[in-house]
Amino acid sequence: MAELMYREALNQALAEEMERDANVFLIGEEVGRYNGAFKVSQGLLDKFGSARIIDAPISELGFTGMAAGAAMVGLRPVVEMMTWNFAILAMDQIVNNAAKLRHMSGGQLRCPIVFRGPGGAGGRLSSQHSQALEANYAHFPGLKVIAPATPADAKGLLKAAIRDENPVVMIEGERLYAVKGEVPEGEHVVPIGKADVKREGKDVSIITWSRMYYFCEEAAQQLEKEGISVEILDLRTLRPLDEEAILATVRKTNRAVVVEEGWALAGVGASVVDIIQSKAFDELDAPVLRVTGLDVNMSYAANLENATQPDAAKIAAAVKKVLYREGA
Amino acid sequence: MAKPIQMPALSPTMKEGKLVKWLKKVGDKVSSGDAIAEVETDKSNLEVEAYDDGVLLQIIVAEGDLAVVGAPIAYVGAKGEKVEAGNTPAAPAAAPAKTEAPAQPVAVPAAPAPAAAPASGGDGIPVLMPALSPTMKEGKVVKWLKKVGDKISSGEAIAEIETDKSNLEVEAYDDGTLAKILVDADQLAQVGAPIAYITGKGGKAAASAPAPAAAPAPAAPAAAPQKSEAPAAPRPASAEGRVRASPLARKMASSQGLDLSAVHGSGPLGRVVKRDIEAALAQGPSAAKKAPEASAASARPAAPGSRPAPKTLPISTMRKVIAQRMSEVKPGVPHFYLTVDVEMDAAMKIREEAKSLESKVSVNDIIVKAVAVALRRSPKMNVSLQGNNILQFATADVGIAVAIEDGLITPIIKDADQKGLQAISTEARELAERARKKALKPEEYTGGSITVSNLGMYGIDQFVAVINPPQAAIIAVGAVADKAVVRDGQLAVRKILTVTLSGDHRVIDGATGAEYLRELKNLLEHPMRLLF
Repeated sequence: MAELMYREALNQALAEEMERDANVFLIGEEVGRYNGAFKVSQGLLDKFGSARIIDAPISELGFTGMAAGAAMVGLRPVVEMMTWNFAILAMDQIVNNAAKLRHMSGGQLRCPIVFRGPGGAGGRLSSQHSQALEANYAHFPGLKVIAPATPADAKGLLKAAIRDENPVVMIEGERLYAVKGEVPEGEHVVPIGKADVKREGKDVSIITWSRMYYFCEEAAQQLEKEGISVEILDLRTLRPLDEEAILATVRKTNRAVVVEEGWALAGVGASVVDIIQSKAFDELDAPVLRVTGLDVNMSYAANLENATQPDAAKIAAAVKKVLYREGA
Repeated sequence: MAKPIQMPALSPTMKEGKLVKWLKKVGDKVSSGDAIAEVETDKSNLEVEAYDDGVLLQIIVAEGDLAVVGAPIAYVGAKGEKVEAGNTPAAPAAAPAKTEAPAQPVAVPAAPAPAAAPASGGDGIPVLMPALSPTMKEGKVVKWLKKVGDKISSGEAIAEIETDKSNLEVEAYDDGTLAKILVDADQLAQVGAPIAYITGKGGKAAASAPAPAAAPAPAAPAAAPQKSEAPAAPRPASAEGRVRASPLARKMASSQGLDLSAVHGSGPLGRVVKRDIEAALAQGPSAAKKAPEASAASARPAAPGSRPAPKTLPISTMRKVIAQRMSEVKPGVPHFYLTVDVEMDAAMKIREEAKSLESKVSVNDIIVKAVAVALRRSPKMNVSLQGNNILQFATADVGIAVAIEDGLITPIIKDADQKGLQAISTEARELAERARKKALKPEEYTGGSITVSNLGMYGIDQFVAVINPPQAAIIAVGAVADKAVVRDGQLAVRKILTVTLSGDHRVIDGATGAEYLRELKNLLEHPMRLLF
């Protein structure tokens, strides 16, 4: 298996799907001649030409709406958002048109479209460019939301998203693009809606997704030295949530910590906790705790940006708390 | 110069007083003898008088605050005078206690104004747990004399309350209908907490459920969960008997038939969690099983290995206060002592007969057996105070104090009431021997509800032993010796054994101990009774 960067895995998925299906095209700012703001579309313009790799002007609402229209008439657009922060401008097209066309047309129209781009902390990009906005999209019926942590999942989920008959929002970790990992070659499709146990453990479950997975893994390794066995469930898909996997891990360990980069209030993690407490209450040996981004705008300063986000130490502390080890 | 007014000692036991109300304010003129404040002592509310003429310059202790006896609570001086910082109070000549204001008649508690009561109006007029004695902090509702829906007239008794001193009735202060009972029979409520609502003038029918009045675990700071990995020390339940447990622990306990209240909780606030249930289960199937029903307790425990767990008795308010007061007088385990002479002639005969049967039975074995049988017959003696609970044991397990090289250890003869003298003898000798070799297992020297300490072999006639906590009693026995006694007006020689019982006065009263000793004496003097 080849070791690829997250961005290379995405590139591979795009190329393979565009080869497989002539209806697939990519549109977004700087996706063509500049090879993508984060080099996800590197080399695709040369390969597929400007009819399928389309550089759009700075006009999120416009090109997103155009892509939704294209999907309605049979094409399979992939819309790259330079960052999900900019997609806020296109929110109406994503949630009011793409997400609802099938419902509004009584099933006569479909909208097979992928909205993808980087989300989360950007590394000193301050509050307008460093937001984990997945909870916004996970809120809407009609959308599927995926947020892979590893290169392999990035490839497999993007392929699944392109093949999906419904609009799929794909949040990529802005600081994950250079992360390397083994990626299966060729046909590697990760089904949407399936979480993945990334680490087996017996004492406590950490439930997370995207970039936070790496902090959880770091915490788990530290905790292992203290004799605490951590299971990590990577949700991968935020809508629909994999209830079975969530309940299975909680039934196994009886304790859970939910880690999320975004803000706590109305976050995806709150829904995970809701599933646990309503369907596995009798399996719980401790209250479920959440580790989230702080309830503030993201700072510009590097040290403050880090302090705002969950990290291994905060996660380890929460784990010890649900284990009644410390600070209880 | 400004003179301090000190918190007076208004009763011999008073250590601090609460400033209930200032009757003068800063700037007011004060004459010697004027009442300037009202103070709540541990017995009653009394007024504090000024001993000097002047102006009230400064108030040190605010209303509602406490001050220790002798501390300045205010300064009196000439108008405009400044109170010097760090003004040291003059010699705290304890102010004479004012003796008017006798304690209120006990059945007429000061009814706090309904307006001040929580949730008044919405649910009706609250009936509050009255303070029926000066030391009462909470009371237990023994019985409701009215039920919801009953008409009530002012002055009518509506419930019976157990205070730390006695059972008294609570009267209604309003006409109306009993709308809601907040504190059920056998439940505790803090003084001042609503225990029921009466709909009367202006009171609406109870709609919303107000929070239960019983204070959440107030009195009992859940006997600090001890770090020691002690075997399933039964966790003290909170005042109203609620056990904190995780949902998982509850499910596990229920499927295993465990009594959660008998499981030590190691989580926050004593929450019983999975590991506690696992620990309890690991201790043996019955370690924390539901306590046998009272009726079942008299039946003999079943198979060996499965030992019935002690029963947790509700601790009465009176017992709580007794326990607290006894600990004040004698910190640790407050002992009391009872001594009786026992004629051992018949018992000694048994020993002779056993000897002729080549059975080695010692006087001590007979005593152990009698102590255990008497214990079975006096369940009130078979107890232990642990945290906020009284545990009543279902078995009669007797410790025997064995002197070893560097101290003393008390191996336990379990179910000694059920064992024959020969069995006790063999077991006692075997345990003592292994004790001397320090080869006893912890379960062989922990537990037990009473210990027999025998110094007869050293020629000691009589002594007083110190209780081995958490046991609540110890029996000290001396040597059996021929002594002159008077029988039917004649001097006679009898084999006399002097037995001294030391009891934990927090949980055992003198009369209980005396009854027990009478039974023990009876058994030893008529050893045939050990068979019945």
